[in-house]
Amino acid sequence: MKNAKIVVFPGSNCDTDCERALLQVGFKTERVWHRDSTIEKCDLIVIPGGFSFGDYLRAGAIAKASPIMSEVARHAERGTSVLGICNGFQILLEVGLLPGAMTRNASLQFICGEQWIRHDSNSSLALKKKVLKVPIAHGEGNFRIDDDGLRRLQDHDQIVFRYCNQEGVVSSATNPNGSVDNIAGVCSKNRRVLGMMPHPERACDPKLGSNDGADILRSFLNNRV
Amino acid sequence: MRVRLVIEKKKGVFDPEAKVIETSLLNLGHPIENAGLKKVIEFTLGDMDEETAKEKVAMMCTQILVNPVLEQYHFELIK
Repeated sequence: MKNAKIVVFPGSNCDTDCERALLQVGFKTERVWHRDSTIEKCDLIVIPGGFSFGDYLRAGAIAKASPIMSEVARHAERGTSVLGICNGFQILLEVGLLPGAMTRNASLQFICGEQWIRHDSNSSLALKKKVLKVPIAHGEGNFRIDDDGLRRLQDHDQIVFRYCNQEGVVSSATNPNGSVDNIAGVCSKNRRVLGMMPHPERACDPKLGSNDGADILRSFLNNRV
Repeated sequence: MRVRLVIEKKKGVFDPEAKVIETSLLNLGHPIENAGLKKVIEFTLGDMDEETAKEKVAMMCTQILVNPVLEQYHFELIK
């Protein structure tokens, strides 16, 4: 059975949802505390959403000082898949496991609702569908990167998800937060680390509006970002 | 030794919060422009020479206090 670890910080609030969703798709799960300094051998590390350390200084920044993060980096280097969701994505950006940075939504409003995203990477995640419905809930999801960095992401097929409409059309009208190039999720160059603002763990039951998130989490059973 | 560190958005990085402040002041009839919002962090550092203090503060900024993608900083040492 594949083994997933869920990293919990003070202020994480999606760890229970993540655990439930990972169990549902077939993972064995265990939570690890941010002050732990080791993570045992596993197949996937999930950094869930929430407001780690109250978003003080910058969203995700204080997590940099937690002992667990150097262990996450070590695992990523050795080939373990790492998935950061929402605040988990912000943390991965702040610790430098993914390129870019996150700023306040262009509207200045916290946004929360259903969102369509398009799977845009040819070499990441084995998904059944190209266009997925996965909810978003964030105040700082405005992804920024300089022109050279954006070109590198595009050249290396690292843009995994873009915000779109139901038909899969990507445009400024389908961009909920002002992210450059409608970016909703990116992966590392070695394809072991994926960060995404939408919450796949909240889209794992058709009764809740979508089952598309389960497909995303299930793809990690094949150990593939 | 006291450190006064100022962190601000890099030129060209849009700061919607500063823009909203600017707009609200304009709406109140104050003809201002180029509003900017900065963070100020102050702390006390033990006794050391100026060069060492500068190195230590720069290290703190690199490690955690400043996001180099979006922000830049400057600081002063107050004896």
